Amino acid sequence: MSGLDFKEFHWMASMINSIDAGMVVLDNDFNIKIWNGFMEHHSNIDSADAKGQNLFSLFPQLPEKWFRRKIAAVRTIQNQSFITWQQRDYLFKFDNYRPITGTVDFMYQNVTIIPLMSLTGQIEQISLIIYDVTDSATKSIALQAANQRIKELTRSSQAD
Amino acid sequence: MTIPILICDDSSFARKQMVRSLPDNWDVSISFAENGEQAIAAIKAGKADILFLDLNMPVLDGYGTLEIISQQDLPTLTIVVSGDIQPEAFKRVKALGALDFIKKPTAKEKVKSVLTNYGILREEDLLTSELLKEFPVEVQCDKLRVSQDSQLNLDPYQEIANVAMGRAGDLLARVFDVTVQLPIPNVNILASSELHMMLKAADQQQGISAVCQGYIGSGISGEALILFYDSSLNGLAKLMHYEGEINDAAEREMLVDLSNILIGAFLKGISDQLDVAFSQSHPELLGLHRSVDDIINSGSRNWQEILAIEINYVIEDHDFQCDLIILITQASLKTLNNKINYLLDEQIA
Repeated sequence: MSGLDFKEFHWMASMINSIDAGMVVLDNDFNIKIWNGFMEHHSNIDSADAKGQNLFSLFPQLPEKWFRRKIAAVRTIQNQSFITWQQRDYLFKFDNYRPITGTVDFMYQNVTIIPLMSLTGQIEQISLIIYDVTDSATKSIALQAANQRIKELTRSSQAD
Repeated sequence: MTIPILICDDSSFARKQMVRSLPDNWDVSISFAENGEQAIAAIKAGKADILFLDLNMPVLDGYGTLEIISQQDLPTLTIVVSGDIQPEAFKRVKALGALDFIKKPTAKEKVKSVLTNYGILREEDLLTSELLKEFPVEVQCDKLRVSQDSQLNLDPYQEIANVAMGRAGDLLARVFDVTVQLPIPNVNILASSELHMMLKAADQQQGISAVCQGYIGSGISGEALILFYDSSLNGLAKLMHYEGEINDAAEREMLVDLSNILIGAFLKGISDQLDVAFSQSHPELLGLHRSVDDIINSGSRNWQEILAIEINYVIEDHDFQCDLIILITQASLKTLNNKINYLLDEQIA
C-alpha cells in the first residue's frame, strides 16, 4: 500500500465507516481505537465516546476471561481466529436489524479476529470484524428443526 | 405599520415552524388557518396582506386556494411553503399566481431573502429592539411539546413525514420524469394485531408484493415496507424503461430498485431533519423465502405498539401506485421525541 495519500485515506476511511459489518480495533490493553459506523448505529455508542474506552467496562456483559484467552491465542499464533454463531449466538448484544418482522430479538453474529502487525513486526493491535448473520442463522435453525421433525415422523410411521 | 400576515397549514408544528422562520423584529400581526377555506375567509376579513400557503391540506388544498384568490382577485400576496418540491408543483403554483415558493422545512434566511426580493420586507418595517422588548412575539412552544407519555402528539411526526415524503416524491419524479401525486401522510400508532393484519393482507391477496428493509441509527430503529400492487407492474416496467420479458426475476429487480429509491430518499429526508444518520439492512422480499405466517406466529416477538407512517404514491398517467410504510419501534419513540423537542428549541434560540 505504497503512496497512500490523503485522498485515498479519506475514501478508505469513509468505506470502513459505512461498510455493512462491524469493525473494531483494540490495543493490547483492550482499549478501543476504532469503532466504525456499523458499531455506532447498532450499539448506539458514538465513535467519539467509544474511542479510548476499555472494551470490558463499556460492555460488562462480555465474558472477559474467555475473550482474553481468545485474543492471547491470536497474538501467539499470529493468525486470525473465528467465532461463529454456532459457538456463541453473538459477541455484542445488538437488536435484530429488522426489529419488527425479524423472528428473533437479537442479532446473530460471526466474528473474525485479526492480529494487526505494526511496522516493527509486533502485534500491538487486534481487529474484530462483526458480521450480521441473523438471516442465515434463523433459517438454518428452522431447517434443522424441520428435518428433526421429519425424522421423528418417519420413525413413528415405521414403528406402526 | 403592522402588516397582517396569514399562515395556512394543516399541521400546527408546521405553523409554529413558519412563525419562527419569520424575520426577527418584523412588525406583523399573525393569524393562522388550517385549510384553504379558512384562509379565504381570513383574506376577506383583511387579515392577510401576505399569505404563507401550504399545498397539501384537507378541505381545500393550496392549489384550490390559489385558484379562488385569482378568480375573485382577493387582495393578498401568496408565498407557497411546501414539502412537495417537484418541479411541476413549482410551475403550477407560479402559473396560479403565487409570488414564490419556499421549501419545507423553512429556513430563516430563505424567507428573509424572498421577502426582501419582492420588496415586502423593508427596513422601516423592522421594529427596533427596544420596541420588541415591550411587545414580545408570543410563541406558545409549550403546547407544541411532544409529550413523553402514552398520549403521543402525532402532529410533529406528521410534518416531518410530510417533508420526507416530498423529497422521496421529488426523487421519484426526477428518476422517472413524471409528476407524482402527493397525499397527506397517514401517521398512526399501530397495535401489533393491526400490523399482523396488514402483513397478512399483503401475503394472501394475490397481486401484492412487499419489500422490507431494516434501519437503525442514533437510538432510532424500525423497518420500512413497500407494498406494491402487481397491476402496476406494466406501468412500472414502462417507467423504468425495462425492456424484455417481465419474469419473476425482472419483477423482483424492479421492486427492489423502486423500494431503494423511495425508502432511501424518505429515510434521508427524516435523518436530515433530525440530524441523525441511519444505516439500512439489505432489502428482503417478504413472503418469498419465508411465509408471513412464520413472521407473525414467532412467539418470541412482543411488538407492543408501533408508530407507522403510511404514504400512498400514485403516478396517475402511468397506472402506477404503491404504499410506503415506515414503522418505528416503541423503544425509539423517546429518543425521537427528544430530537423533535431539540429541533424546536434550536429554532427558538
